[in-house]
Amino acid sequence: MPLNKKLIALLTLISLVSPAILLAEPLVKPNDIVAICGDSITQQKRYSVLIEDYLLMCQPSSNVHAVQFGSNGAGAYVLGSRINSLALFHPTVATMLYGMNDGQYKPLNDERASGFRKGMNDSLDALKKIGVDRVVVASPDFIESANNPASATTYNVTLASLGEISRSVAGERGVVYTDNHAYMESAIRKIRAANPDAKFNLFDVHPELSGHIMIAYSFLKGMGFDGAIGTITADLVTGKAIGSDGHKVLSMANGKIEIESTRYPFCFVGDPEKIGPDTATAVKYLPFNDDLNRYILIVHGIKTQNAKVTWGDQSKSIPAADLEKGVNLAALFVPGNPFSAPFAKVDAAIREKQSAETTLTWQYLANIGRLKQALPNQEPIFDQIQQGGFDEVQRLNRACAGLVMPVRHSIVIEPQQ
Amino acid sequence: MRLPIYLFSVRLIALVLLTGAVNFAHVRPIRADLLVKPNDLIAVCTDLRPQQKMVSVDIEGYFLMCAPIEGVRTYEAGAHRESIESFMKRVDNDLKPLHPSIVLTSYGFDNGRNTPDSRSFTYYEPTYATMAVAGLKKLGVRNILLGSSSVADSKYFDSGAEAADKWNANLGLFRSVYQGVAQKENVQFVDLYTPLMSVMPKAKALYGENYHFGCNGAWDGYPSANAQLVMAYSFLKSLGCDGDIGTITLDLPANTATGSPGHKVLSSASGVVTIESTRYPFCFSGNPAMPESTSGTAALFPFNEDLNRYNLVVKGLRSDRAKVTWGTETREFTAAELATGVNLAAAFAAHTPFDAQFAKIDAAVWKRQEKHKTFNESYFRAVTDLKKMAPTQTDAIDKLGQTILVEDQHMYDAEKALVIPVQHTLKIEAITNAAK
Repeated sequence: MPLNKKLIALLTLISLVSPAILLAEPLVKPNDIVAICGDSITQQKRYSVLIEDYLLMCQPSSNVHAVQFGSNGAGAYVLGSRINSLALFHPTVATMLYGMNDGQYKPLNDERASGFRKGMNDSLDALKKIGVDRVVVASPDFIESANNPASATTYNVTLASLGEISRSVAGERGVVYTDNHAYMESAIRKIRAANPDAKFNLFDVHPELSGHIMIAYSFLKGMGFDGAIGTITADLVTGKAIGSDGHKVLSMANGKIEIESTRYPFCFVGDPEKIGPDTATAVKYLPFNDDLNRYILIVHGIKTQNAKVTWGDQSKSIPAADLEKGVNLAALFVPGNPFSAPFAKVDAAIREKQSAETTLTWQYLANIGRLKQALPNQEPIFDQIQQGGFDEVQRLNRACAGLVMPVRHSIVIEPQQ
Repeated sequence: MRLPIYLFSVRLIALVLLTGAVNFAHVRPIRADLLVKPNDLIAVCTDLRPQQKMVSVDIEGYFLMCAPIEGVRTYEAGAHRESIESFMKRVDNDLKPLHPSIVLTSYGFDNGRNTPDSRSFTYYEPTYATMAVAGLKKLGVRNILLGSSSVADSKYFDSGAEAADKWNANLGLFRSVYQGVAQKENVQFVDLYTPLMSVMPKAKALYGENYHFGCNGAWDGYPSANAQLVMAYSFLKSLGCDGDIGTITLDLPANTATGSPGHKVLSSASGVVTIESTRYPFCFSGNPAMPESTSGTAALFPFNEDLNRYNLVVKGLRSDRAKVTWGTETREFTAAELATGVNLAAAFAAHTPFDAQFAKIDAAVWKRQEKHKTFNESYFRAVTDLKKMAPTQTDAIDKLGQTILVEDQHMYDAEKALVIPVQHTLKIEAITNAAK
């Protein structure tokens, strides 16, 4: 293949599955507030929680939190119509996942295609108006339905086409596009190929966690994070170990390293060997750990062929050569590592906080206009209640951040023949 | 809590259905005493579209204008396509702040899909209805009127007559479920099914098969004012309304006239009587051929006979017949009819001197109840979540609830202020042989 053709093929591949790697630096900066906008898939509060888990615990940037802004039944245009409610949260970055409802579950026609394009443009205009010009636009999900596989296959054609419109709009508007549809399709096809006869219904219109981890991956990739959680480097000969930022080595003796970490690796739930509605299965078929979750252990000076590495209460036998180059603890110890319990606690707190945001945005702010009209001259009471809602979200944000405590953990390296 | 299980004999149900369906009078009042007391709030809870609110508007209009009782108002507290289970779950949350003294319900239309051998029939519906009644009793509701469901339209329901027949047959059986629960729980049962099923064929015979009466498969806007008047009638009867609006008695030889309470005779001379009334007859509106009108069905069931008797009695007429002019309309009656009394509200149903003021008040009631959907959805149904959302502002949230009730009271007061005395004139002219 001539060089220029190779280059074109490479660029095509890059633009298809990983456009965000073109970002010179992460889109999300310290102290950003990321508005996670979309339809009922967003309002499920699954991928939005996974994203905020990552922002808060894996800390690709400091002091970043998210706002859940899903609207059940919404098409792309809805964000524009609800922008005043979103503005009250003062977001600085936004993610957009629309299209599932815009396609109206039918083959795409010109009217629906142009309606979606207009909705996306209008919503981007509205975001710009409130000062949000850093946006990650995702193509709509890839779906698989056990109940109606033929219909899912047909609708995926529509969803892919809407994804192309998203890509084109994002390009025209100079915002980041992430091909969530392609990421999901690739992972789901791999899961299906590995389990051809398994019966599961994890990736329907409202996917289980196994689908949401794919969406979270798409957005986090789009945000341009480098995926480095930390590195622990140990030398068995000198008996010394060092940790990268966020991972303080407290001691090392007889191959046991005591560490205190303020940055967590992303933790998965479920049995990675069984297909289920959790994150552990799906992550096997996604480059999540390679791209976003590298918690590397490097061990020099092992004089045997293998070493037994114990992290928390689990052990793995790892070739010394691999340890010399570095192994990803976050990928090897799934599920159950010393961070899993605190991670789950913060995850639950974030879910509670995002539920409060849904009540505030969806139940209160979206409906309160009619009640205000019905009760004239009562602005002070409405303002008071609204402020109380925002105060509570702030309190929950602080509570979530407060739960991200330094985790003390140990890694034991024992040479093995 | 151990839940009751109801098992109904199909034969018994068939018998109840048969006796109920053939005789409209069967559903006439089962109690004579008026259940409504001054300042009662009547919550109307149905699975119809609450935006329509016709049942609750008709009932409130009746207590404002026709049988005025101080401070009695209705509150539209229904939810579209709601099940009795869902209603049961929100009783404590939604209805509690309203402190209703009377609650009227009509649930179960979606049960038409279920047959008598289903768990829905034998277990779920009676269980949830019982729990709903228990919840209402716990709230201190004085009178609970447990209604049966509305009915399916014989043309517009799903695939048409056959589907509607099956659906309605099942609903007829579910009526007995509600009746059983009402008896067991010692609350009042209101049979809405039988009068609706009785009026529907009559209305379609009169206005054509395309006249929309019952619910269609999509529930989009039906039943309308025509059928909801039938439902309002059934509730008003069950509330013990006696139907007496008033009587004007004219003695031609003595040249005197008297009015019953609420109808003051201002003058009477030469067969012309001028009256000032504070009680209005119930007025019907709209094009009778349109389902959105009350005028089309009023004559097809005994609304006027049972709830709307505004009688004119004329004594001493010296001809066989007489012309009676009321407002701008004129009708002829025999002397015998006038001697025993004719019901002006029925005879002049198309146009009465009360129509304009009745419509004005009806519009005000409508406007107030229009807000109920917003109050329900944005506040009463959300209040628990709002308090969780803003835990430091529970006092403000409670205050907002109080503000809603105050606003509702203000709007009710504005409705009441519109109920002004109406002056009207009756002119009785003997029809002599020459005039014939």
